[in-house]
Amino acid sequence: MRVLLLFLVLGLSAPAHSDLSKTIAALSAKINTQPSAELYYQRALEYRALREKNHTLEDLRQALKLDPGFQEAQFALAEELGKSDEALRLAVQLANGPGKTQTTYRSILLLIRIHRLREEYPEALEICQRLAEKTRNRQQDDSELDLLHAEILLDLKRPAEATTVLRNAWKRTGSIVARNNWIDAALTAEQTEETLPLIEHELQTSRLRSSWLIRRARALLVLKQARAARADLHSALLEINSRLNPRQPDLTLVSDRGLIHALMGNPGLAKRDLATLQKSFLPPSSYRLLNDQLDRSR
Amino acid sequence: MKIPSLLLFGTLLLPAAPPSDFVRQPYLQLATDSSISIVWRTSSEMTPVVRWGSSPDQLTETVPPAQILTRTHPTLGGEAPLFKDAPVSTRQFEATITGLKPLTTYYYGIFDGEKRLTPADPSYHFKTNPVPGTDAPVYFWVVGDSGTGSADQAAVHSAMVAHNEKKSRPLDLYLHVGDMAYTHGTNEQFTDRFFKMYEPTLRHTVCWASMGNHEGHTSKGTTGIGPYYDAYICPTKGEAGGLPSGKEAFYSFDYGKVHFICLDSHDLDRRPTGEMAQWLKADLEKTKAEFLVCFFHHPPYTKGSHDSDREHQLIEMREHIMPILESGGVDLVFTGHSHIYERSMLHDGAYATPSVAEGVILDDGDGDPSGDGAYRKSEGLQPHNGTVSIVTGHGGTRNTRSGSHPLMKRILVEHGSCLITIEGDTILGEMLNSKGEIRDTFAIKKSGTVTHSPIANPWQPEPFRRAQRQPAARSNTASAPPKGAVELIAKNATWSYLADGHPEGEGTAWAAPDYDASAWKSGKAGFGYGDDDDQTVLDMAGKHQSVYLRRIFGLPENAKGKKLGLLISYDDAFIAYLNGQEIHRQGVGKGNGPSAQEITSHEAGGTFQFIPLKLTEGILRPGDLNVLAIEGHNVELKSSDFTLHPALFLSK
Repeated sequence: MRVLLLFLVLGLSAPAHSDLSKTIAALSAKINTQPSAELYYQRALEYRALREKNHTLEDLRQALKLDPGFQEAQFALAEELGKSDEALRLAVQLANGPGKTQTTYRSILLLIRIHRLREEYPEALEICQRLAEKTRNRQQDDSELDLLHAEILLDLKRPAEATTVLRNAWKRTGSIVARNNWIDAALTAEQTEETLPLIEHELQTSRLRSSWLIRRARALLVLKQARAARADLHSALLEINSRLNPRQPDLTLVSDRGLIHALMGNPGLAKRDLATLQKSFLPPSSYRLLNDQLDRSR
Repeated sequence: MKIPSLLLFGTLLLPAAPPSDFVRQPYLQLATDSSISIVWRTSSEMTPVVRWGSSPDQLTETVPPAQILTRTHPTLGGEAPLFKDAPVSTRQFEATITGLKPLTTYYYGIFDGEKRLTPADPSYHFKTNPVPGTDAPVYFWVVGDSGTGSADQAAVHSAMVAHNEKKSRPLDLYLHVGDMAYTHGTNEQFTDRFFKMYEPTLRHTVCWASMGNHEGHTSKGTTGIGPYYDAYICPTKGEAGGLPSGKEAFYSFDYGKVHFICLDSHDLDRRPTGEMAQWLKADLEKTKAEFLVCFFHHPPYTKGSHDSDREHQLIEMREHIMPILESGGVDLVFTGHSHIYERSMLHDGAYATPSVAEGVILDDGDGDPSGDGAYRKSEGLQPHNGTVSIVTGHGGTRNTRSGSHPLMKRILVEHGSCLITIEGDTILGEMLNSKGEIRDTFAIKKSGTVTHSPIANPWQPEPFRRAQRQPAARSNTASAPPKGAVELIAKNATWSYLADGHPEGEGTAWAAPDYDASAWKSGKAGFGYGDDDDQTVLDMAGKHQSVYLRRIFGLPENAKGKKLGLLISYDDAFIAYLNGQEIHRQGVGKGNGPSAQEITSHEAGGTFQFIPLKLTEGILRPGDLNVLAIEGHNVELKSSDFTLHPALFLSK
């Protein structure tokens, strides 16, 4: 990768392991004879892989007890602690602590995410904007910060600003995810002039068209062409239903289907899909459009 | 120009020995229907010139200097720095050739100015891809978890080369599903355990890679920085077909009517809201290929050395990514991580944890055209029409089985790799073991419209009983020196060692104080390979079974009346000598040196055992220098690991 920044690498030694239980046993034996922060950190990663949260936390804390400046352990602990005060404190400590540029960047991204998890959107946005300003011209091929920045703006119901962030990110990086999120945000902001030709192009060149049919329908609704929008939504629904495994559905398609129902004025069906999504592991931001559309219909 | 196959295979049979001017021999990257990159490394400056042409003796074209990128150590301030663990003098050259014709073989040579570095040998060639969407068969190799540098890794590679020679079928491409450079994916490990091991193949076949957890120790998918990202040039802008991903960590490319997708299952967000999943969904919507192959490291379905019902990356790939792939019409999913070969029945919708077979198997036959018959699918990419999942983590490291995964039709605990042919309307998959035997065959025939109903109670593999496993190696219990013991030889002490043969001289003369070991190497304890507990990693796997160590030590003035004790971690057996006299043996039945016999398997397991040495009276030389010598033995030549890590203590 032709990049200008270097990443801080810790000289961790991990076994060329096979199964995790054996790896944990080997690490435990080493810890018994010669405990070190690195060994506790390694074992924490193995426990994390096994989703054994208490053991993970315990080992990460032990690693930090032996080496309070161990940044990888701090990152891992903060990520594991979710939206707790301790996670926030660790992220602040990392962001303010010594570190190479890339480590600092990563720690600030972590801090923004924790604020967002805590629904502290203004704080998240402020840090995000400062970081975006500071790193302008530096992360040319990285859209991660832009995607996060736009998400927070959408959390704050400011789609027009999200549109600007995402469009710039797409133009700068070429990221197709930034482009598609830009189109979605622009439609939420009722901007169709620039997006509609792109949507038409994608409809002509894509194998699976439902997501683009939904986008065109949203644009057509902005343009008050309800009948054409309904035809697109109907076609999209047919395609999605043909793609869904009813026993184990792809939840991203359930989200799309719920949005179709909401846009077609079928709130009952839309709410049924929303209920499925709310029961799943998906974060609410993944079905934001469906939620917003249902709110609008109320 | 069409190249006679005989000529190509002549080069495969007897490829020219790689020239010594390179740290990494020339290898191919990022092939498209009109371009390719050639990459190589040297340990010093050179004037990079690449000449190419349509026949081996007519390299009439030269890559313009502007199309050769030179990458250097970050301290030298170049435009595209290498990762910092590369030596400062390293130069990596990346030459891009454009304007090529599709599906055409070209030859190349690397020059330093006018001096030719690669031999005039037709094995230095490449073949461009077919135009995306056009009808062209593809034959590719899939390997995982291979980067040990061991004899097993070499055997898997050799078996593939020999098989292809016999079949007169060159590879079109090569997929690696991760863990290609144990244990940390460092610059040096990449060079030794990937580039050197596969050099004869890499000079004419592009390896498309996905990152494993071991590469993840030094390379980060989030930043795209590290030795893994230095080694590969992956498409980020849709250069080889597929949608631009903007990141080398995940990407797609086309080869004729086949769409390949690589994902990073190790260190990126695997949720549907993550950037990778969003890109995947968009990429699947766009592709108009007729076959779909996805590859990544962590398997959604396995009971090998890892368990997909217990480990979070594996669970997330199954719960979050598989639904997107299957609603997009995926045919094959290749993974590694679990050190085993497991090949599934035709399945769909198997996202639950724990995995069950009921209601998710569409065809419970063996898929073998000469057995139950090929699996059937509709032509083109149809959602939820059936997937075959293959864990191919058996490319060179120790294999393990922990159970029988309910989706699997074939479970084989042996080293090997996969060879896949996609031609016409059929996918043919074969597992070739390291002895050159085809151990599994399956096919998927895609024609017409095929509708499947999930089988309520499908065939199930035999439950796995631990008794079926290889005899477990004995392990030991950790023990420590007594309180107050004085360290005479520290755990990290430097020793003289011999690991590439047996010592000169009669019998155990090498253990005597006056033996001249000046020709031996020096290294810090512990010594070994393959289990990542070694300070001095030995290149003995498959070559040598024994290691000899010597270390001089002095005695403190108050040593009289005290006892010596050995603190040691070992795999598999050893004999210790004090001033030339045997004082302890562990796991060696009889004999010593080259005639050592009845060696018992023993795992170091990261533990140290304290062994009081009882036979030292009259041998120790107070006031003089003493020599502790140890010979270590592996249970067999092809053993996957070895450890000899001694320290010496004096106690009351």
